Amino acid sequence: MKHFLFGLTIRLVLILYGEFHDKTFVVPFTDVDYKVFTDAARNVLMGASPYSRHTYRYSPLVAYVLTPNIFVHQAFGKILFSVLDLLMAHLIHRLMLKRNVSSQKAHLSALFWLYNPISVVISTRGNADTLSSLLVTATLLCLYAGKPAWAGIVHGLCIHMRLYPVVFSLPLYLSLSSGSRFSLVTASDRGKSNICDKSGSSSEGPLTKDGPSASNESSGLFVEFKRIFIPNKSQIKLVLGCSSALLLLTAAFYWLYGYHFLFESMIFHLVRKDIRHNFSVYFYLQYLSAGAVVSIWQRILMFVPQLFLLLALSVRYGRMVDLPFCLLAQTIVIVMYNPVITSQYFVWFLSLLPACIPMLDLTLKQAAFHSVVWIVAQLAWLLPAYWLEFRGEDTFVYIWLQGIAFFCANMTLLARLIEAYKPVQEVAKKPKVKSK
Amino acid sequence: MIMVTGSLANQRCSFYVLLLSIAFFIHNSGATKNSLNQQSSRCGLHATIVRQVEREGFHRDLGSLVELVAQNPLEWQNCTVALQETIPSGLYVNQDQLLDLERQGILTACPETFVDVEAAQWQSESFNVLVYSSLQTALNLLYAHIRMPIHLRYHAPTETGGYAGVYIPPPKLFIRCSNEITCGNKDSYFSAPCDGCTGSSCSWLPLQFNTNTPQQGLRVMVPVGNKSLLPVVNAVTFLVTGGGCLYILSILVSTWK
Repeated sequence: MKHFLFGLTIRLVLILYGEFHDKTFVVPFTDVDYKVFTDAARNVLMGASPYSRHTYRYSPLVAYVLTPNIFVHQAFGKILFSVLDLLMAHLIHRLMLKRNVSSQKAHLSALFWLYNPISVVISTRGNADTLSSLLVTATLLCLYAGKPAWAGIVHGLCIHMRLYPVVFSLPLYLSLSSGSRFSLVTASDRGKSNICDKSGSSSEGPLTKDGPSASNESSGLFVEFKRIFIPNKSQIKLVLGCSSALLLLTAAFYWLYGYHFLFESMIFHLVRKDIRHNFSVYFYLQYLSAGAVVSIWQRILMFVPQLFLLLALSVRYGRMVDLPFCLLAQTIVIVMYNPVITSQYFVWFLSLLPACIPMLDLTLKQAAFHSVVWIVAQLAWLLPAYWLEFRGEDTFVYIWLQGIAFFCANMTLLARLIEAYKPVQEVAKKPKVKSK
Repeated sequence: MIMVTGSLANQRCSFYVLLLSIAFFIHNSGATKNSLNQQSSRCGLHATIVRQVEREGFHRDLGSLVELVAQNPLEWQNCTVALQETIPSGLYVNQDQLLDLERQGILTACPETFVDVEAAQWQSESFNVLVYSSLQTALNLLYAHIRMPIHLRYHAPTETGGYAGVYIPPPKLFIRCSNEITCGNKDSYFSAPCDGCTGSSCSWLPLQFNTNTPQQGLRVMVPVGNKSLLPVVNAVTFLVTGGGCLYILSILVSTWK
């Protein structure tokens, strides 16, 4: 409790500082999009569409929630996001307990989010991505609580808020599978994992328990095949929950705001192509080939590696025990292979990190090393970007090279994480703290 | 990506700039319209605009110091000037930023069309912005110091890279007073919103002025990509992204239990 109060105090102080900073300095503390939300909220209050604010590319819900920005105080949204941050820490704590992690480690994971300078800065700058991170965590929590229908609904809402969690659908679906490859209880660690039995598979206990038993060999491939490819009850609930929530929200807002809503909050994110400098490895390639016809093989080359990795990770980690790590790895992949990367995208995977920390077999020293490399790679990109944007120097080539370096740093990090990942039952007993 | 919304907060020593600019070399801005000239002299007004682009990079300020030397300054005390700026396709103003500045009482500037702040230069066209300012008085001098944030658009890459030039042409100057202006020629009046982006329309008296802006306009340089690098960029980028994919897949296989 005292941590919650302290975490909240830090955030409130920073929000106050932000008010002062924005009045004093040229480069504002507040996120660019926060202004966009506020303007959209103003439009909503005046009875107009939030999308009449150019570059508003979010769900109308964000504008609704932030209307007090206009009639209470401009910092309302930041305080709301800070409170959601605390809620996020609480959910991480509960998620860890559900996964049978010792309460000490669960506590540490929650603190990692509460005191993480990045999450503090993100929410106090007024970045709405805290909201989608919260929903992703809530989805996991529902799944572990054995409520696939709810998980589906939250997941649908989450996709509505931010498109990227749509790639989580496959691992979420697979994690409920009755096939022995995906089910919680594999032959090898059956005895150890009683936690999973009572959580995820509660709705269809008999199937899962039969799955890996001795009769498996005789029942043959056909049953296995059926278990993997024929959806079971939980899976149907998940899919129905997700699609009904998503369709309902989409239909409602389409009815209210028309094609404009559909384009800005969905289609735009699919076809987004920004030639202006950003962290993406594809930035210079896109800028130099701008205006020209993009050849089909270029499209394929941009799309295929990402697809392969997402599929491979889904199949490999699409199990209930591995779910948080699967989502983390997938998020790193979609962010790094995205044609446009802005620093807010990093929140997406940072928010999944705390839930994975107890399963990462890394020493504090290794963890610190990886964190430093990751941050240095980012700063190294920021330097030429600053010279271009604020000094008007031609540093395009350097920005591109730093983009490549940053990509490589992230891929190496992902590889180290995969190597260090040990599902909860196999981690050695001694507690290890890990960041990044 | 870092984005900056330029702040006009510091109206730094406009008087100093004013003094400097009086000593500034000022030459005529081409296109002398006789009727306008006659009108200005009939009204006893001599206008100059000293222009400069401040700051570096993609986010700049377009500064205009408008000075009116009046034979009878009392007559012009309750007047507003308006600049009609032509923003070339290589630049844009951010409508939302301008609205914020208006709310803060720093600047009133209204684009005459919708401005796409994300489009590149080759996808854009030039457009007009009306900038309003009240006048301050110093003896027989009336002046207004206007600073409007402008942003550079990305330009198409060229075969050699380097820099491209964007030219900001001189503006048109108009004046409107709360009392009726009697010296002007009614035919030459320009109709525009009275004091904000929307609202009722008023008649504005066009004024001839001298300016330091060269004929082709103020030049701003913007870095552009080097198209000759495209094959190298293509090859290296896909080598790295493809390599990254294979690397991760190999790690997945090697840790498979």
